[in-house]
Amino acid sequence: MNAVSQTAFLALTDLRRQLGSPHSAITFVGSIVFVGFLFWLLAGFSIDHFLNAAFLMVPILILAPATAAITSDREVGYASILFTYPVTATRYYAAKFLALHLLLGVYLLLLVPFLAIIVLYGGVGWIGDIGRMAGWATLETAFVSALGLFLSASFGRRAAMASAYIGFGLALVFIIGPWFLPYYVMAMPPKTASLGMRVLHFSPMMAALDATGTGLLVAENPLPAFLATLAVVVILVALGLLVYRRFQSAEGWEVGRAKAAPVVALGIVLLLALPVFPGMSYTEFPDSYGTQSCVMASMLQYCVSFETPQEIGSPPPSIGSRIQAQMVVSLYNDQPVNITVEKIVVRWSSRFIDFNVTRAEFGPVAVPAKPAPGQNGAAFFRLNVTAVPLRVRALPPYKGFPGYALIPMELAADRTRVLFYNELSVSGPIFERNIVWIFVGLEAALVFGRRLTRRPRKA
Amino acid sequence: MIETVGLTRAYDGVRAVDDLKLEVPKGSVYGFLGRNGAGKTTTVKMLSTVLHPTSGTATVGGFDVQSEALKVRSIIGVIGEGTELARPFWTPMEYLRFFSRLQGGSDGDAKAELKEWLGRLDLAAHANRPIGGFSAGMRKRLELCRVFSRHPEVLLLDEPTKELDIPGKREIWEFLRNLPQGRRSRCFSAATMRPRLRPCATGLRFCGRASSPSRARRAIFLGPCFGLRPDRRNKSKNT
Repeated sequence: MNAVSQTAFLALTDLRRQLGSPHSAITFVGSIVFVGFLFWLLAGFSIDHFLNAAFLMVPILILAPATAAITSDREVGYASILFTYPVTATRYYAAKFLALHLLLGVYLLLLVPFLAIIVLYGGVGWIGDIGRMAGWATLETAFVSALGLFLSASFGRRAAMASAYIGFGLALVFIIGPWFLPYYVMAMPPKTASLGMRVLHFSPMMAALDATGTGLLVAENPLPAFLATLAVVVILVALGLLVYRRFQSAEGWEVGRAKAAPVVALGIVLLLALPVFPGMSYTEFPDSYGTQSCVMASMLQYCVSFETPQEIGSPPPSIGSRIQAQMVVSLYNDQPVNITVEKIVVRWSSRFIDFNVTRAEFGPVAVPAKPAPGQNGAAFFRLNVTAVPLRVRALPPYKGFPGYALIPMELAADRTRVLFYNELSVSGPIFERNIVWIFVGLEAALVFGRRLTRRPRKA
Repeated sequence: MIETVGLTRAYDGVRAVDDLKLEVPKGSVYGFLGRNGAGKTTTVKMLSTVLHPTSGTATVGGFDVQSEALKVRSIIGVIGEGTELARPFWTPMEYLRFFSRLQGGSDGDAKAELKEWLGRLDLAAHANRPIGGFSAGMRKRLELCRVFSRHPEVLLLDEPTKELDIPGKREIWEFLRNLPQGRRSRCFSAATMRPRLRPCATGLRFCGRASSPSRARRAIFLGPCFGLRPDRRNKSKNT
């Protein structure tokens, strides 16, 4: 057996072992129920939030005990049998690393019914995002597995379980932290806040939130976060391989703690130093979206909206239908003097809507002074746009509860730059959200049924 | 087949095996006898590559146990101390097929042979039950199936009857004794031996340092190795 096929063979064996164990069945069923609840709760509010939770948070519930169990092989004797066969420590640990990714694959298979509902009701445009989230989940699994296995190398055999949990404790901080910590970090003095935000990019979760733009803060450029988290994973994997390959203890598959300690220390220093490099800047995510947004800047009020020729009482446009909309920019002046803006550039793009035009430029623009007290001078600009709604941001759970498609917009006027968060009403089929409990029940029965048929009984 | 020169293993400064010199020829049976802590398991662990010696050298089948560990592992079959079955949800057949494939055997060829081994060790009736429910004796027999189905050139059995009751021990020793000798070498360690087993001619290593009175007290057996040579036994019967 060559190295690759042996590693894959061992990984599949570890996977089968995990799937056959009682704690695995319980954690899988618990996760399915939790995912079902999240779907029931969040899908009618924001599909993005459901995807974040399902792909980036729930896997931890499965991976944490699995890594501990896989690491504890050293305690229960499996390793002492295995290492009397032609197996190297590198293949053994690489297989464990791979097995945890395969476990994630099984979990993702259990997500399929929920994802199918999203695609069916929310629009096929979600397929791309689901694929990207699977990519983030893989990166996060690599991060969590590498951290657990790497840290467990620096502890003794008897502390294998404990060390895995220490690794996961840290992982949990970096997975759950980005959901809540930015509020606290951003309230700190600017320099501390800047460093704090960078430290949070240890976590693939933070990078994923940056990339999808669904976190508390929106990164203006998500690439540094992605590179930071990728670098963390690469460093952890590389150092882990180094430790497991080069610093074996007297027992051939164990790491010599004394030899490995400097490498583990180097790893920690590298990980601490890494956040110094990526530069991140954020804007705060809006509390809510609207069909028209207005912002006061440079003595003028700028309003931007998309208007559709919709008659009162008629349903909003549906997914896939081509509509003629108007992008409207309104400028209001409450000053007693005319104000001239040299150039106004508006940009918009949306993963929910396909536009034929995504940029408009006006200017120079003279906004008249207010004609009388209590009135404003105003100037309006309209641009015809063809739009095709691709998907909705949430599955409408009730009749008369339209879906919405988001349109983030940016307006630049001379030296002013303003971000707007608009949305367009889109109609879609009503989703009966209680249907998810049928899927939850079926999947739980599948997992428990499999477990019960494999239960060992005394011979 | 097995050669050691100055083989030493120390745990925190205490020498469990000290300057061991050993030569075990091909096709022979060799025993390590001694009390608990005498160094039997440590020696078997070093010969089976799972424990690195502190000093000295050891070769198995001409391969160095440290620098050519993978080659050594490909020719040995080991039942070690504390090798519990770590896959309680597998059936015996799944368990054996896993190790057979790890050794590089094809699935199809191995299946019939593994079934035969299960039959020989009275496990055929339990072939489809998860091994987590097996008794200690059944587990030990399954381990023997695993080891023998490898066709190893060198067998290293570390206390193969430990934790078994007396009939269980007898069963295992009888099985080992009735195995055809062939060209493989066998080393086994034990703290006690069944007196009914016949002496073998090849060798015995008395574990423990004669120079150390405390260690000398640990060793309880002196004399011939109790052997596993069915051919000798048959010969003596015939004569």
